[in-house]
Amino acid sequence: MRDRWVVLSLAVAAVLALAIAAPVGVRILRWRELGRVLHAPRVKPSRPPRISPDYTGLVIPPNIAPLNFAVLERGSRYCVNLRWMPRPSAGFIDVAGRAEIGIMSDSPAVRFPLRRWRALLREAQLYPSPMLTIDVAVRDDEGKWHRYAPIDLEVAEEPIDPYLVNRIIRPLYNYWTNIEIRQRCLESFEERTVVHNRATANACLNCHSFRQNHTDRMTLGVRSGRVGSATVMVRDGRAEKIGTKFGYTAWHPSGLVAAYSVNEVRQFFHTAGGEVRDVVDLDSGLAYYDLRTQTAKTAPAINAEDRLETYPTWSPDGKWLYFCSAAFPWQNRHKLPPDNYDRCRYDLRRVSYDVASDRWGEAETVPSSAELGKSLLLPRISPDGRFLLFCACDYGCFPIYQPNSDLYMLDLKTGRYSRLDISSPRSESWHSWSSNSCWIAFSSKRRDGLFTRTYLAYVDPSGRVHKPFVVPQEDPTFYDSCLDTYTVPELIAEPVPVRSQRLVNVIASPQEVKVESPVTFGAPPTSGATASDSPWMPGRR
Amino acid sequence: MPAGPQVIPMADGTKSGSWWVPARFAVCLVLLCLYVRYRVEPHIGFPTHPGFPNFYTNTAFLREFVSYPGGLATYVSGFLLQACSWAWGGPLVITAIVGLICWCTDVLIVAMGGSRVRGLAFVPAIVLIPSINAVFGQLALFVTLLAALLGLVFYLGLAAGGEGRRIAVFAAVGALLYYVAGGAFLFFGLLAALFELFTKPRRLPALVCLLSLEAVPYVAATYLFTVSLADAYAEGLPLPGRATMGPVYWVAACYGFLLALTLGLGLWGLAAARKGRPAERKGGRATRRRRDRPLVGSLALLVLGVLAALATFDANAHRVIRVDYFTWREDWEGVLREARGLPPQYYTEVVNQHVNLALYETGRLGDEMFAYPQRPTGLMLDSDLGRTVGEQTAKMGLRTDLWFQLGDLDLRLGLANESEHEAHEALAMHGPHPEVLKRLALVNLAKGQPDAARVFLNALRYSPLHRTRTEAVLRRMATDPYLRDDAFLNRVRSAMLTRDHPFPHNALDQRCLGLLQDHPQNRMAFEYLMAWYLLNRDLAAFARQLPRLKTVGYRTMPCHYQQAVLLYEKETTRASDRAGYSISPDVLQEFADFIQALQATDSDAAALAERFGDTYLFYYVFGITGAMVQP
Repeated sequence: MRDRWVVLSLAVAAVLALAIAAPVGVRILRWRELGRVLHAPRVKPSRPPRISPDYTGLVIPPNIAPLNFAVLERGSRYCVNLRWMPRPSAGFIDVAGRAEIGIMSDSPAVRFPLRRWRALLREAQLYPSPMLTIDVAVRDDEGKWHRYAPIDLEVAEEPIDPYLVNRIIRPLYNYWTNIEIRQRCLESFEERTVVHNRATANACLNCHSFRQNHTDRMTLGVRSGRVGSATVMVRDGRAEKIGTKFGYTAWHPSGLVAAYSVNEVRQFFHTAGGEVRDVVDLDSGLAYYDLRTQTAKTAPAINAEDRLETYPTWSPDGKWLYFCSAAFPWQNRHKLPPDNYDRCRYDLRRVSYDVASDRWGEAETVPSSAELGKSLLLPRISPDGRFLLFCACDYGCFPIYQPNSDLYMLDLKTGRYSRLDISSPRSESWHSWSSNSCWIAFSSKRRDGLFTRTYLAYVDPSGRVHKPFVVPQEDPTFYDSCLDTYTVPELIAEPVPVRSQRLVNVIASPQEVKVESPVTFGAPPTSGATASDSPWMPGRR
Repeated sequence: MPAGPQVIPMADGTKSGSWWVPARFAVCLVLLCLYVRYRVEPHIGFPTHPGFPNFYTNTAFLREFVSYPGGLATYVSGFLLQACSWAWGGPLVITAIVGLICWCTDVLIVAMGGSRVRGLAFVPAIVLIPSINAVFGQLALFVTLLAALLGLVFYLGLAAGGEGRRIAVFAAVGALLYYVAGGAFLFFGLLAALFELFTKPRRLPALVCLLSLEAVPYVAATYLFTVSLADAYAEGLPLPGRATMGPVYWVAACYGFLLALTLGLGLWGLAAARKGRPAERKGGRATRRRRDRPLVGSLALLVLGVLAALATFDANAHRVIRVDYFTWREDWEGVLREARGLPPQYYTEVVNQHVNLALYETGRLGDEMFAYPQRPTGLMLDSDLGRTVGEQTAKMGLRTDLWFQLGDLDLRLGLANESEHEAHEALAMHGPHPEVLKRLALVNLAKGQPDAARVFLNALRYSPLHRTRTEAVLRRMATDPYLRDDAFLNRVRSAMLTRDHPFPHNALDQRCLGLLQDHPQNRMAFEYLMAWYLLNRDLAAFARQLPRLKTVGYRTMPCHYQQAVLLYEKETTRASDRAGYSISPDVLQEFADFIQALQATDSDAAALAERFGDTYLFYYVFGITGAMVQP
């Protein structure tokens, strides 16, 4: 009996020992293999490996989630080693005992463990201007390892705002089904639904807007046959419904006023060419909602009879409202597409505003469309007030449907502006600044020309924008098959404070703040346009 | 009054019952399977109709379904119904689901003390037959019903003992069921409450069951999931206006039957108890009675099933689906065979469009199109949605699957952007159906946008049924991104519009003229243009386009064109530019005969239909083809 117990105990001990030793042994073997691989001969001519997404030569935020990627080199086994090193120019030669992440895998998909990635970045941040180096080696079918030139990434000192809010939707024509406003934590892969239209009778949820990267003030447009057109406004963690729909919205830095556009949007379609869709504002104007009096107002300077105004944005000091404005190039406001729609170009304008007295100045043109021969859209000013980032495209008001839409930067100190080198031959649009003015997030179709993805890029103090990179995903092949578009990326410093269920209840609730729209247009189109041109009808779930 | 749950699946406890019930069950299921395989043929609707739920193996696709209650049941249905791509796969899966529903019903009957009426366990199969006949979109509802019944069986099996245990089991099974099957939980909760009320009765568990019907969806919508309150209750239930195609009342009737059965058995038990007759005794007597006539009951059920199948199977609707199927397979003769003789109400615009496409692809559009029913809108479906909200809603209701059928014709004609537009609408309406993804990949390849095409193909790669073929295409694209050697793509590229033309809605003639302007040899655009003019009886415009016959490369003038030329010349009394093409003596003779017969019959369409019904002459005079003349 006693012997049996001894044997049993020994067996249990052996199993336990094996359970502990085996992973350690595997890890040792892997490290030995890794060490051997990392000394394998380099491919000739020496070049970095092809990886997707392209994360080579970037400046990255110190708080970004792991930049998982897929190695596009053909092989049967993949070895990746990530380490950090101080930049030689920083005066350090090397630091002993640096953290490293070694990955050995049969799959070309490289996923860095989140905790170790964070630890590595934390350690690297102890030194000025650290670099990340990624060594990649690939074993070919004959068992021979090939090592590639390392991929170097620079780690910026300035963090990016930790949250990104996107509107996620399929490429949109007339019908929609799933529309989601989703919050993504950029420091990890965590995502949260801010609101999903599945819960709101399939309502159209449009542009979300925050006050200066903060969520104490937020608006979200809602449009639906069942719940009507409205705006959900979040103030200090409380949500309420405003009985009119704000178009593109910009919060005054004081949080007392929200400027918004009212647009008579129409969609039409091209029968040839890459992009099928096009959008015109047959009419538009700006208004503002005063939270103090709970009224919506407008002023001649922002809602001229003979002009189209849209895309408002405030200067960080709150003294200027920047917006886009174009003279009507068409006589007939009921024809679709209107005559000369491809000659409609917007200027950037600004108008002074005093929030205390609620008084507007005279509008003035900042850069005009005539200077560039392009339509200037979506102005967004860096929170430090130094730069104004905008889109320029050949015509119209909807850059996301214009493959030639590029990003431009205007230096508000010097008044000079230029096209950013980071612009691709495909559409760039919907940009936002990080609260420290060091990072921008923008939408781009550069990968495939159809699906909009969110890119991040570092802006150095001189205003130079470094190579952008797509928001990293846990699955590095995620974007290869993702049928959703990620638009309106807004960087925010803290998460949205209201639960999704609360927003849904507010949207569904009949209670709303009654607001009379101060902007009215002429009679709706009666000829020429059909419902197929009407923008965005709800689809069937 | 029966004592507690008795889970005795498929056996009477009698000598003959031990084999008779499973045997009867097996026979019924085999018959059902054969019926579905050879009559319903779900595999023909599977690739061509969007009612079947999509299924992909990637986690991003799964994530959509785990975020709301009831999503998993849809996901599982999508997985199971992939079997419908094989001729026997769909029937086997449908039979298995229906069989399980019947088995669960049997368990419920036994548990409620109704051993003598176990034949009723087959009633759900009979009630569901009409729904199986209209197979689209309903099968996901079968899965949610099955989930609710399986939940009930688990509950009946596990909930022995005290009230606390019963409540705990109900909470565990119910919570899981609610997450998996959404609103079907309500049905489960209701049946569980009735069971608890009638069998013992246990008032506390029954009360908990009933209260949970209100509380669970409310809590889910308010605190746990981003769903509307209405969806929290209704998701997965066969209610009108939900995410299904076709009427759902047969599935709803099945729910109703099961509810009535439970209620009836419960009341029957109560009544029996009041009269002082123990249910077991009644059951025993019933068993004896049934042993006497076991075949009669089974035959009665069989007859009922056959009657349900015969009465609710719409053979013409099935032929319409076959037309779609053959169009999808590019079996043009099959399309024409199935469309021939379809009653007018089934000869929809979609069928009309498919027939004309089949005629074009077999080179017979100009010779035989008037042998089939024709409407001016039947060349290309009307894509105008109307102006008012009412019009839009009505059309959207009619067109729920039409977006799915649109697009292929546009692409063949060279209207790549319109095809892309329609495919995107289908994507929005029906989700990433493989056929939609394929079309989007094709359009983007034709337009020289391989990066975008690759996204659709990569998504399609996660479909278990399309993986191999898609990977082969992606491999080809690695060396030839534009697939320059693909015959179909080259055909589309050679026909595609190269300039932006502002076409009004539904102006097929203007589209064809635009296409011919960019590619004068676009034969399909030419034939559709001529067909448009013929259908609209615009002979002047038709005659103006005759010189294009040479450019497009005809050897002889098609028969209908010859007839139209004769009509035009007779009407205008001047010769048209026949571009050197002659009228055949047969057509001349037929024309003369027709004029004579027209006068002789005093323009009686019915009298002329048999002889001249397939000619353009007949259509021109009467505005309908001979096939449309009511006898």
